[in-house]
Amino acid sequence: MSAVPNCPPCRRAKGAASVARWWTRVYTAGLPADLRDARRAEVESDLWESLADGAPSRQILARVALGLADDLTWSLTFMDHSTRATATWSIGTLFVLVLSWLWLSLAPESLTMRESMWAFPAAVTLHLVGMVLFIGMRLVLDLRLTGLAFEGMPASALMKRVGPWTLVGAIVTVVSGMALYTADSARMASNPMFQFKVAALAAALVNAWFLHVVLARRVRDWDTATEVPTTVQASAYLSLALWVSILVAGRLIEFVA
Amino acid sequence: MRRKAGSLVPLELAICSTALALRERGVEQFHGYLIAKELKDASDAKLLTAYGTLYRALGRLEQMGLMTSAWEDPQIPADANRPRRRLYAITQDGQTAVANAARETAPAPLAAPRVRTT
Repeated sequence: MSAVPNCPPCRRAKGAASVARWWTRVYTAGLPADLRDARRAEVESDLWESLADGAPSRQILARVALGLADDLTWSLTFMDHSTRATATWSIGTLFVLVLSWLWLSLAPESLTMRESMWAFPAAVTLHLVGMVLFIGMRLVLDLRLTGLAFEGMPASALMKRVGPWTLVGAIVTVVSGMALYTADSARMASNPMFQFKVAALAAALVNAWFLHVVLARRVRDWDTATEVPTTVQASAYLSLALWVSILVAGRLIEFVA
Repeated sequence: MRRKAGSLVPLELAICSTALALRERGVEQFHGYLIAKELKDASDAKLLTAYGTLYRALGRLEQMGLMTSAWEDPQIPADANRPRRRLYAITQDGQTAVANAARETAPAPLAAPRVRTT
């Protein structure tokens, strides 16, 4: 493709074209081969025409940036089920981690949580109910995957059944936990048990992502088997250990200065 | 918001209208970059339509039967030393859709004033 001129501004435009190429490779990665190749070839042709036409780098980058939402929604439309699940889990996990980080660093103190007669007890109750639901559901799945209980029960069906309830439990726990945090955010942020709990939560989330995105891709191979692969068992044991640690750390927060 | 079946969003209509204008100038087929440039010139915009937005719209138009597309003969880009182009062309249904849209947006004729005869 030697017809594209070579000069300093053109080099910048070529750099922008590389960004466009990289992004196209990213969002087409999980698509059927014919769609993926067609889109990549079409963007490649467009980039070549742009460079040959002397398009500035900012124009190429703007065309990438302004089309991000369309690229992602188009890509999600044509992804197969497992790739879509992978993308959803990955984006969701990243989103939750970033939001949690922002919340922990920016959360203000809440006067309602401090002074109201009912707000704090209500949040504590909801936090406990949410945790029982969330960790209870998680426990059922982890016990099946470790092989300690529910032998022979299809793991994929179990994941599907407990999934929505786990999500409900997680939402109730997180929202009530955020309310509790605002009652005394400065003291909580410096509490070593709270810091440990948050770190364990992040690790549990990453472990859940690993189980649902990476390991569950081959669930058909061990769906009803009593002996599941070692990596799946390890992930389930780690999950059990992390959730128990989170529970214990949560209880110990008030006993540690 | 769900769109009405068969209706076109402004970008799709603009692509079809531009394709018709190109045809009138003797250009039967066009590639993505060409239509993006024509759209920019026609609307006096500062930027070309984004890659994702443009190719998604072209794909939808093809699905609706208003455009057809074909990859050019591999010998042509090999001779010209450039990547292969996907060439689009507006269909008869596409032309009808533009005509219908033009009719819908045209101002309704004024009603004749009523004249009392008594």
